[in-house]
Amino acid sequence: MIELFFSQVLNGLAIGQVYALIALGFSLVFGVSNLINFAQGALFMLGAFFAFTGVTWLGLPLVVAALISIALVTLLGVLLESVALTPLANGPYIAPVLSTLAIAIIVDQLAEIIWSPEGRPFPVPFEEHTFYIGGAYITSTDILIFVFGVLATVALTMFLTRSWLGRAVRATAQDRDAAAQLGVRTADVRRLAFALAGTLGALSGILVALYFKSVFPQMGMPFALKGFSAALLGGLTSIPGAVVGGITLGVVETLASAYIGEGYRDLVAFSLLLLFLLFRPQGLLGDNRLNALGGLGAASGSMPSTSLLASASSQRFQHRVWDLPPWGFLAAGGLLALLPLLTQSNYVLQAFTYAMIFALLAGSVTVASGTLGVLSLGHAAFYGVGAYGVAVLGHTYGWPTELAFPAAVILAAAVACVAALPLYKLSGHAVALGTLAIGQIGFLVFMTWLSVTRGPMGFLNIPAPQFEWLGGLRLGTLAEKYWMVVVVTAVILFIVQRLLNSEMGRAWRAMREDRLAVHAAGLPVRRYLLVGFAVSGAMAGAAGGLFAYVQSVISPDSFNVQVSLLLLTMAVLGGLGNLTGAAAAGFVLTLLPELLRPFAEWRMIAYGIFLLMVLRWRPHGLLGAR
Amino acid sequence: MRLFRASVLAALLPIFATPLVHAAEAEPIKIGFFSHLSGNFAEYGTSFKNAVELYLDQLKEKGGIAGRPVELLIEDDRNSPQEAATVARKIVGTPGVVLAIGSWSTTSSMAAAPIFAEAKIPQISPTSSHPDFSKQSEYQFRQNNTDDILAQYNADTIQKKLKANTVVIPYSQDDWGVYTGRETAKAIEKAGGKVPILESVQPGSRDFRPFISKIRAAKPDGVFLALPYQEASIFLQQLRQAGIDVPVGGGIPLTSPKFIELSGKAAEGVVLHTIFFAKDPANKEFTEAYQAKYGRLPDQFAALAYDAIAVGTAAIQRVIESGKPLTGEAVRDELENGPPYKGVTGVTEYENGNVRKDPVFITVRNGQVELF
Repeated sequence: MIELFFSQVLNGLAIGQVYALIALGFSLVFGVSNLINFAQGALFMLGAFFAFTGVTWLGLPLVVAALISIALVTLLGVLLESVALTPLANGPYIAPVLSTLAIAIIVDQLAEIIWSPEGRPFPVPFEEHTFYIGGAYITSTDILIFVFGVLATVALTMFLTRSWLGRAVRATAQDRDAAAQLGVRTADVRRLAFALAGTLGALSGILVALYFKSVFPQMGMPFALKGFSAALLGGLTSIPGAVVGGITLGVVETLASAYIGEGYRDLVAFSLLLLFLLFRPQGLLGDNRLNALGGLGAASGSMPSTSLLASASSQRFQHRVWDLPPWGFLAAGGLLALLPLLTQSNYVLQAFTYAMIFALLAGSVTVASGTLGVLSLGHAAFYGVGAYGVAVLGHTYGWPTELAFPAAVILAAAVACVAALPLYKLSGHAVALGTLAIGQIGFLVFMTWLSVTRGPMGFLNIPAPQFEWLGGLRLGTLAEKYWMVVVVTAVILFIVQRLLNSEMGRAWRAMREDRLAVHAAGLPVRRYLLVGFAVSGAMAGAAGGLFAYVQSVISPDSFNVQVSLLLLTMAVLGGLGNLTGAAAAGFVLTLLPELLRPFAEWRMIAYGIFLLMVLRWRPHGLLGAR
Repeated sequence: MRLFRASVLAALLPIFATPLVHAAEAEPIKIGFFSHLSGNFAEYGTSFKNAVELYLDQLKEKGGIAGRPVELLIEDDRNSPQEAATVARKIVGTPGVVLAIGSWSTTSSMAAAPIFAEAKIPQISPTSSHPDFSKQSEYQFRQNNTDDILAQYNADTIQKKLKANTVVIPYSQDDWGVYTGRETAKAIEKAGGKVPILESVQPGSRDFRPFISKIRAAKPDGVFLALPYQEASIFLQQLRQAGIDVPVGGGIPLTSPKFIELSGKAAEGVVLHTIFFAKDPANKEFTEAYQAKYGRLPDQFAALAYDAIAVGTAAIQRVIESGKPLTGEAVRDELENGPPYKGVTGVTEYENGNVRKDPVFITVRNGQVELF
């Protein structure tokens, strides 16, 4: 038994060092530019694929291919900084994060087009050996990764502590403005940090390819998520912390896999992340140096208690905001209600139904991210709770719609409220990571809680909406369901727009701008935050419930992290905090791809480029952030 | 206001109104096809499309169905149930469609099923293996064995062919894997075997060493992989890396040539069951035609799709020849009650939309599949 335990710990160390390498790249960039670099996963994946291409298509020896790949990705790191980030220097604080997200979306999709979405075997030029220590074993590849990992960490530490350039990097990380005043070229330092992030990304990508003997265009995102988590566990800005965090994550999830079950591995990993955010947001080795300024998150904002999203609104300069008055949503709903009279085509109706559901979802994200200022990368979880609520109550327990639907909405609101509790303590980027963890946990719960959610199979034959109190009125046809979606969406958006225009909405926006000031003004910040999340969760839950009724089949795939990212994109494009903008963006961006169906694989790329352009030229979104 | 509304109506009408067309004699016969042609696992969907198009090319040379050309509507469902429902609406909304082929996964096929049932258009899914699929309505048909039959073949593979009585089963946490893992374990235990470890693996997992350390400790006689080929190939490599050399068996997904490509040497000696073996002389005509057109050997998915379109078009032909009006309903009746059809994956004879096809057992030797 004890032997098995030690061999599992060894397994944990083996995968942990892989996470540590990825985490190093994050920590470096975060330390210097206070930026969560979502594109790190893309750099990692490109490192592996460039080496793969060098070896298999050009016939280069692995070492040469690896060196070329590292050099290329290092350059790409610099390019990323100068193309995607420098132009946004004076934009809203949130713009650079979203910009790296857009780049990640574009690169991942391009890689699928260039190298095809399938996995490829990665040629390993040397014979592999396995060494046994009792029941445990390590392989020659583990040792290779270990050697490179140690070399990279030592080299990086030496560079940062012993060289003048490294000192400049650290100075910039501590206080950019002060460093600039002392004559450090901070722009160059930033570029250097991104170059190093590229180097580390490519190196870890190649080592991971060797570890798994294969490369996949989709490998960026999952490893990036683990890399974030590892970096955060260690204490975002600390180099030894990244290593310790990576190894901790590796060992914990390996033990989870060994003693709880392989299927629970990621669930445990992300729960650990959430626990850390809750009880030790500075991470294992992170220091408290920033606490005087409001802690970890505040390091990234202009004011200690200001949300990252603050300047998305009116702080920097005035811009025009287009939005509908509350009754405008009812009017729009009234117009849309005519559609079934105009067309018999169920295909058109279905497309419009989804468009309205996504309008509601984007609205939900804009309330949380735009108005409350909590950058949400996990709204798919609340969406899923609503859908599963309707499915479980309507299908398993046979509740009529007038009970099942409101119950599902309330459940989603309650879940959002509970999820907001750990988020309350966090600010800045740590919040985004918290929501990311919540989204992942939601997805994994839908996946693994077989007895309730029926796991990956999901629900089939969810009954059509039926109202007992209206004499058993059943909305069986698509047109009838369409009308239900119109009514629910329009009424909810009407109510929420009224809320946003009321004192409640003003308090929410004030909290986004300066939480401390709101607190000082005597408003109960925590209560307002929870209510805001409940509203946002209820909106997402209602969208989920409608989705379940319309589709009659749901499975966890509809509620994954990609959906969360898509929703955030919609909210940003429409103008954060602008309900009209979010609803319009959600509506149009769901409908548009239907027209462009033949170009499906270019769809995500088009989104990404569109997002980049909007961030560059209209950072307040198309209809203006509110 | 009334004028405004009328003008909006007038402007929208040409876009949405669907013209009523009466089927003329030379009118093409429309068949819908949907599967995932992009994203993860796109290789499977592409195999489907290739095979269907190959069959229709061959049919065209023979003069189409009863002299009428066939028009194939191809849609990409990105392996997402939501997209599958949308494209199904699009297919049933196209006037004149009498048959649909799709989709690859049970989940996507089932999301589309109620739409086809409502439109009274028969749907043949080449690969949906979950028993519930054909229970959706009388309009659902499949080409492969259901998972309960496959589970018995899985158990036979590992227990009878590889003589392993204590078997570890990792299964993929998806619609197919959950059912297959459970039922295969039951079948093994029913035949007197033992399953010390039956554990799920999240889709997309890459690191299986904790699992493998447990296998080392459990010392089984064999391992059965109820995993998609990507996970299975990495699992197998890590298993062999750990020095565990017990026999390994696998299910349908591993018959994809990608499995051998990705696993390399680790795939040697793996035993699989299949209802389509490319090197079988009886399938020579199909295999050669497929290889000539696409430059690769057809896999089982291609073969199933090839049979699906063959069975479907044969049913349409019988409807036309009988002189009945060509409707989805009539095609469905012909599918259900038609004579047995001998295809490249065995004999198709529908009973409640299901088929029963006998497997052959194959093994990997020197990077090639051979009969076991």
